[in-house]
Amino acid sequence: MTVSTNKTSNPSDSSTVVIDIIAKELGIDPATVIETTTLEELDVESLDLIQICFELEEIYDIEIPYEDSAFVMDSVGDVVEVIERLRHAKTSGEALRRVG
Amino acid sequence: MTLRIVVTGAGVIAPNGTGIEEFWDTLVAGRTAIKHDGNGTDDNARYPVARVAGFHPEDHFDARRIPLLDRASQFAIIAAREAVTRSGIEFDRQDPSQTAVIVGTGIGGIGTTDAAFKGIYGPENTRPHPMTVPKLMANAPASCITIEHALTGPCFAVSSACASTNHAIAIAVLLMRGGVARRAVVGGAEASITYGALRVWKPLRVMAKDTCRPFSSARSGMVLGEGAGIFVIERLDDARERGAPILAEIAGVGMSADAKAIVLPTEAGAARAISLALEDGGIAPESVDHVNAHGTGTIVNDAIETRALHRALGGQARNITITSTKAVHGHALGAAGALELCAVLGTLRDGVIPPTANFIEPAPDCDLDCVHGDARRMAVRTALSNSFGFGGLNAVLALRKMG
Repeated sequence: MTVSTNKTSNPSDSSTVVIDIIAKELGIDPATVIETTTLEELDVESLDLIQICFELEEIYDIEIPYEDSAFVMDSVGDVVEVIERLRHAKTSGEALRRVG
Repeated sequence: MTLRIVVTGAGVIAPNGTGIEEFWDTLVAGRTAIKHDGNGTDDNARYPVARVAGFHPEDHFDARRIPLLDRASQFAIIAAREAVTRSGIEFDRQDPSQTAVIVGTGIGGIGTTDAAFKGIYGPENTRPHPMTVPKLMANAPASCITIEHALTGPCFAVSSACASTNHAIAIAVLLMRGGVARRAVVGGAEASITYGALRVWKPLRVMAKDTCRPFSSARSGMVLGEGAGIFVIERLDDARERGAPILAEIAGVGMSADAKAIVLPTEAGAARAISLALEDGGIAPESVDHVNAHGTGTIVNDAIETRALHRALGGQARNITITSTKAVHGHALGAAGALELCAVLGTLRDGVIPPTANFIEPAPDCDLDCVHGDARRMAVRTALSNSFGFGGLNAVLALRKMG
């Protein structure tokens, strides 16, 4: 499995990327993870969450705020949703700056 | 009567060998691991060092765990595995709260600090890895050992520069004598050969230009090394009861502070630590056969250490042999005492003094019988291992052959 960590690649499918990152961190087969899988079911520990957040921040060049961090995410889908929102906010911010 | 404490297992990873046997064989052969390996492209940091070459963490650790472990912690864990295996101890048959884990380190995870701060202070102001703090903390090597072996007794790092390991062992012995712990996993770990570290050592003017030549003419300074040595130490009665290998008795420990200067050592402070170790072990100076010297190869240390041995041992100083194995493995700072205890254990086991490598001829200010050239065969019953650190901190161990 290869996961791009190139910041400029801007992978479009957050769901696949999030699942791949989680699977890589946990050393499990990504095929066993779907969006409704809970982090608890995957035995994700706080240390794993910190690593997962760090990887996603690197890939998308975003910063996951503490209140959004994996500590309050229950499922894989929650992680995807947070990433989507932060990516959107970043794109909007950049568009606004371009207009301004 | 004082509780008798023995070493039942030892493990080492050092520039001259991974594992006790390779380490010992290279020492006996006097084969130095010091190399001019060109540290980067910058003349400011280009001087000889002794690295653990060809080290691949993935040979020892799960890939997921590697980003969480500083090189010093990796070394400590690897050495601890060997020590535990060799001791034959089964920790799951013991009360885990009765095993202390105390690991000396002079500097801690400076490789992690160096890499993170380089990125942060550099033009890109890179995002630091979230495990930077738990990786760089000085107690990480000790903590990692408790986690791997599920040991829940007192655990902490000891830091006294180049005397860190000997202080760690001394403290462990005192905890055991005091009934605070029944046994201990102790030693030292250091991995501080980074570009930044090489830059900051240089202006101190203690680094050798060519190589490390302790107690020799033409000595010009020390050479940085790295590595870890970890030991399982137990009560003699416990060790006998479980039929453990007994490598040596830690008969006495001595500690002192010079209280004079932050880098310049004193003869009086070093001599006092030696005398205290002898007194603690009930050992007469006349019983000392051999000393594994601190022997850094600096102009000042070797002369002061020679005088300190004369002062502490009196006429017996003329009868002992000394050696400095730093000429082979470099100066591993906080792990120095650990690598050197491994050397002493080999000497006690085999009756062989490894030579001080790179030795040209005796220096006028170092008039003790420093073994050089070939290793010397000699029965050794009682040996000292000296460590004297920056800050004027001294710790000496007195080791006795058992049986």
